[in-house]
Amino acid sequence: MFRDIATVRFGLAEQKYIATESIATTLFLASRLEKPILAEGPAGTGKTELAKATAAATGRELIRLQCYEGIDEARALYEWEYAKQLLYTQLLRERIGDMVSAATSLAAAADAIANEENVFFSERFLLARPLLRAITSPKPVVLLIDEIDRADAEFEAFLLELLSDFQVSIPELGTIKAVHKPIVILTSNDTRELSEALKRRCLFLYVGYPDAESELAVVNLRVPGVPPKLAAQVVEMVQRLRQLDLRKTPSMSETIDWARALVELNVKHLDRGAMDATMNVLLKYESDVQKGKRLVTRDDDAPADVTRERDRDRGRDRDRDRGRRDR
Amino acid sequence: MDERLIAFIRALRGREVRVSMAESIDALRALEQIDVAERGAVQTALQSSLVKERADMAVFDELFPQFFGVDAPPAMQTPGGGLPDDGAAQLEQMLQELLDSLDDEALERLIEALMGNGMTRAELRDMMQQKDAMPDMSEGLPLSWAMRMAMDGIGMPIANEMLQMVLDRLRQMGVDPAQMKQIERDLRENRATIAQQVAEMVQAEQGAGKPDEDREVKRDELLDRPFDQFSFDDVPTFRREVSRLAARLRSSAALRMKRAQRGTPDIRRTVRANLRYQGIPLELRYIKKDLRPKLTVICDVSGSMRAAAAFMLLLVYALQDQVKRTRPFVYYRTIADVTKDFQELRPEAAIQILPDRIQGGPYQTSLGSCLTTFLKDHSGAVDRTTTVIFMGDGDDHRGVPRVEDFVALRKKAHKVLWFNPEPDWRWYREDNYMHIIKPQVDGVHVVSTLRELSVAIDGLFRV
Repeated sequence: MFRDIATVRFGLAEQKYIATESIATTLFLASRLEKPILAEGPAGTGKTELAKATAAATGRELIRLQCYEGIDEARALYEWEYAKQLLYTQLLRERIGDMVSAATSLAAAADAIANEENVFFSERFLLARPLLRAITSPKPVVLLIDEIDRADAEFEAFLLELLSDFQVSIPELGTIKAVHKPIVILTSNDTRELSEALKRRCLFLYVGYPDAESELAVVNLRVPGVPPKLAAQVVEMVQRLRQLDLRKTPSMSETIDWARALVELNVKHLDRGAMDATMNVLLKYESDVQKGKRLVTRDDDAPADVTRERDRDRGRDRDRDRGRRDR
Repeated sequence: MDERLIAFIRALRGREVRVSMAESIDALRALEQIDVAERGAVQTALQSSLVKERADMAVFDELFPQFFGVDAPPAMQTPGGGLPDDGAAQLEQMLQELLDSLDDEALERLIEALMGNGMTRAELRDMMQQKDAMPDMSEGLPLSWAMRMAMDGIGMPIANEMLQMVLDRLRQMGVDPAQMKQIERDLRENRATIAQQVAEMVQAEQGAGKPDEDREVKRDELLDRPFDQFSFDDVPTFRREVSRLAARLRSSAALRMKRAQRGTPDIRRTVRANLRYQGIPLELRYIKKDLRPKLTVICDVSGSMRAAAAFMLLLVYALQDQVKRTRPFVYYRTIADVTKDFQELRPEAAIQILPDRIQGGPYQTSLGSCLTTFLKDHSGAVDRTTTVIFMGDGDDHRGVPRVEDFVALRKKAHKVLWFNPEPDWRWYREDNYMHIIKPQVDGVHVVSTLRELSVAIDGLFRV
């Protein structure tokens, strides 16, 4: 486990994950206080990667539960294996027959079967889903509950017992406590508000878009063979595109994909041709691609200092608008 | 540290950041795990354990330095710094005599501060505690009063009076009037600096002093406050109240849906599912019906209706998991589809840009033409399973709504409802067409408050 905050940063960096001070501190506290982390932020900013890197850094298995609308405990926690139960009853038919043959009445026969019903409702017939696997694992694990905001409010409520006490209740078996408390990371893309009860049980971590310096470090780390100049140009362009009013702002993972695409195409220098050919890797809507292309066209027509000044103004306008909306 | 943390949590609560007892304990435990000399780590530890919403981070960032900032005394002026050596020595002697004559340590320190030896926040906090100078903010005192009471409490008027006596003696000794003016100016500036420090503490205490019951009363009062008493710009700040209301509605809605969904067994699927059990029906299958309503919400965003429209949309979007699909539209002079705004932004951010979607001046509501346009351009937003809800007062300043349009809409939709924030006695004024609308829709609800709105919306989930 992590000795201090520096160890967290170092451990994650070894897994090619550049952790900010707040990420490292929150992860350190989560491991020490044995509390889940609720990582919130736009898609593609490295929340899921954080769980993967944590698992790799601690040498633990990563158990992932991908949430979706309508997910229920049968998909998340456990299910009885009816087919296996039936198969066993068929195979054990003679043995069951022997057992009830001594009974003198129907009630006595039913009692004899009831005495043995624990056999059929035991862990042998339990199909463990990710949550149950995480708490019954003989080794400590990292549990990733991904995109919790996609699940229903009922499912959120169902998770509360697990997140606060690291235990689950199964009616036929009773309460199952965690063998080893897992490191739990919940991610949310902030598409809906989560319940206060859930948030109360977690440490909150906001993971936003990285600044240029961090993004450049990530690109250099995650894209082998990227020329330094190209990496710097890619990051600069992405940072500028994020200032535009796009339908979908490019995420960190899209920056990496774009840099990889450019390296694959053997691009050494980001020029207009390369941008036109690959911008759809970065921007996912045609209207956004057009806005990106217009930005490049304006750059070609304007002196560099004018371009920089215009970007700064645009950034200020956008910040102001965001500020107004946040208020 | 514990006391400071408790004061900090009280200040956060005072600014409407919800911090539970469990979270306070988490914060204390978190601080035990880190090096408290590392300011960044302290900030992250407290933020991750106390603040669970991004919107509250700004409040946290604002308050954190006040409680855990580098506690250096503020820069102060040095009254008498410009005096010649003998004058400065005389001033120093007079001050020393004054301080020696006092038996009140706090007052001595305050006079020293006024003379340029500024106080740290911690020193001032101790002084206010010692002098019991912090006013009881639970009484709802205005900030200016509270400030004056705090300044009186630490003994500022007495300190001023004493320093005035020193200045008078200096004047009598024939110190240059220009230099006297400078000394007075420096003293005034130092007093203002201390007042600023006191103000920050009083502000932090304000709200924090409000007991929880007061907030509960405020919440209840909010539920019954008419929409026309809310400012549109303030609506997003009531997001939490709306969420709480939505949580209540959600529970009952989800339960009703679940019961209604488990109605009819699905024989075909049951037989198929149980083939592996030799036909013994171990697993029952039911006909699953998605009973969640499909909503098309058309809101009047003219000046008087904006707050009601914003609350309506906030509440509907807080219940999104209980709704199959929502298509929001806003109308005024024209009508606009704002579905995309709500897809891309959080509802509280999306409602803030609603008025920007339509241009128009006062008294330009055109309900009739907007409805005609809606039927012509946005008919895809309505089908036989859609419940159409209008939120508006039924005014039309530029024409008369056409009965045929309502008939056509009712034919297309599952249900057409009208939510009106105005009481029915106001429906008979000029330019109001509720008398035309009412017979043409399936239901009219007066929703002048959040409580009434929640009852009306709850009705949508009755199956």
